[in-house]
Amino acid sequence: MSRGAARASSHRGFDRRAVRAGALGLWSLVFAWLWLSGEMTRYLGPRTYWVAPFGAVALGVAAVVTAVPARRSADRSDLSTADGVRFGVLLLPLMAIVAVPGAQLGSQAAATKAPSGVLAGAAAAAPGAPASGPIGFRDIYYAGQSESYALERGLADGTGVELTGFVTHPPSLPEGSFALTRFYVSCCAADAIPYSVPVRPPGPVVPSAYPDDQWLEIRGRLGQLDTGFTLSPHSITRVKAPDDPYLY
Amino acid sequence: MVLRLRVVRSPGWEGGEEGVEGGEEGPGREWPEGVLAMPPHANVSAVATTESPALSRPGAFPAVAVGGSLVAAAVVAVRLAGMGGHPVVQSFVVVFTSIVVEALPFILLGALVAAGIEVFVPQDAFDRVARFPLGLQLPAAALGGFAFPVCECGSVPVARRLIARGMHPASGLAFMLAAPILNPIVLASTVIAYRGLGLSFQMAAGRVLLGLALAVVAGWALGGDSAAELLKERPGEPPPAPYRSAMRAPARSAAFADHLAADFFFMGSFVVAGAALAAALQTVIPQSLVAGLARTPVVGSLALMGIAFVLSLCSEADAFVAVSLTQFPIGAQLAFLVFGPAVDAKLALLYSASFRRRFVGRLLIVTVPVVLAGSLWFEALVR
Repeated sequence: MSRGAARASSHRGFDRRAVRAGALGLWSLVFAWLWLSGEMTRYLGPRTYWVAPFGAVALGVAAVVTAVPARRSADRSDLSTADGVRFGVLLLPLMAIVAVPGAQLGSQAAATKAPSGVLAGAAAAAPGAPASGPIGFRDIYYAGQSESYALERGLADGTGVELTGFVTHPPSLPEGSFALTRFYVSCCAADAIPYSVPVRPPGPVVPSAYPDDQWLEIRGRLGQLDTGFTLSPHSITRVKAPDDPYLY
Repeated sequence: MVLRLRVVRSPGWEGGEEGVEGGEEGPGREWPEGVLAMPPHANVSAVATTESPALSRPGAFPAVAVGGSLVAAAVVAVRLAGMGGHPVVQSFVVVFTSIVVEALPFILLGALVAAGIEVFVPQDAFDRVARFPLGLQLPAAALGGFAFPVCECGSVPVARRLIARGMHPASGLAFMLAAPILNPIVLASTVIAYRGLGLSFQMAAGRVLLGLALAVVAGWALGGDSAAELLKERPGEPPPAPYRSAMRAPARSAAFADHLAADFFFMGSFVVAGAALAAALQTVIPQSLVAGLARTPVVGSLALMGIAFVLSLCSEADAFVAVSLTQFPIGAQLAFLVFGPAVDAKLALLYSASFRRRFVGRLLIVTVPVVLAGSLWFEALVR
């Protein structure tokens, strides 16, 4: 068999370099989409937003750098099955995004990720320097654990607050109550930590009135118990999930 | 073990057309054991592989097409069945995707550095480093992490390449374990995270010292093997380095691109698999189960090591999580910050793909007692 014929007969599959360049290019497009569409807020925190534009550009450059020799070189090598499997594995997250669009962390994740259950009264050490700005879920949690934090942040029995979050039903809460919950993210959704405030609506409540994962905007006043603060609402409004579901 | 050889024609080789003695030329051709006689400057390189011939067979169009069709069918089925609305599925997808999205650029950065080391750093440089006594190499390699701002996903391909190029395996491992802890971004994030508790300096210093100690001890304990004994061969990996010096600039660029893409492909696929494992564990195991064990320093440290393994967080982000684990003693939080970048669910898969069998087990045997002892010592000092 001549060399040329032997070479031609072996080129029945995918060109390995071209496939690798394709995978890099595809991921570059995904990062560009995450960046330009704002979808990156579903997966990343502000500290790592830079990953999206960086990934788009760097992976794009890598795709081009890989593709150019693939076009020029006569020394083509075919994609092996192992490479094909790796290619498939690299595409799995993209498939997951397509299969479950708009996925977000909700009550199930809150129940699993809660470090000590909702306001379980752990001997927590609150940060020494309270944050400024509107009172949030984390402030209320820390204030429930630390008197000094509550004092410095101006949180006390009767303080008015306005919170937007989703409904969860921790087993530790009495019947007729629910918790309003929000995830705080540092770098990505994998490190999201749920903070919840127990809500005690006035009068009898039908359990199905506030199902898990329903987003609510609640205005009300805080009440202080031994285990922390609860929220007595003046008004409860059903709202759509915000574009950015996390707090930071 | 049966040694199998893959014949790979080197792009850009400027020599003649010598082939393997007694064989017919062709990329990806596998030769039986014993076909080793070839001119020293032959236009081939041999890559040992333990992968099954079926997996490394070229031209795998049908298998890839069938696999792709199955995955596409699964996506359609999930959408049609409405399974995407299930909370467990949603949690899994968000955590899984976020770990991958955060890690892939770092994998690329690691692959970039590894390819640069392979193609552009002359062999003499590694030979000179290898002549230093191990007692000097080890801490120097570990301290090298200060200058390498890449998290654990990026440090594995770099360490693997350094060892393959001739750095002592102990030094390579020390670098691999130290870089994700000592790099400037990680230390800055640790300082910022613990500023609120007034423990910035203590936590950063504790992380540096315990990270260095772990890197040196683990490097010394696990780096006794030769590079060939330690590193797992990778089928399909571009040819090794020695012939690079004979290449022209365009050929070097092509080789660089080859290495970059190969490392990204290989490491990336294992990070995806590890992220899936971590996401599954995060979705299924309630953290409150482990948190209930938090009260004592010893159990608390062990519990947070377990959580660090499950969460598989990037070392550049983990301090912000550690500081929120307020029900755990401060020493246990340090254990979380040192153990996680050394061993976690995604790294376990990455290690098992990069190093030979039992590496993860041996690393755990060294890491757990070192980190536990260090965290208890830190607890006693700080409290």
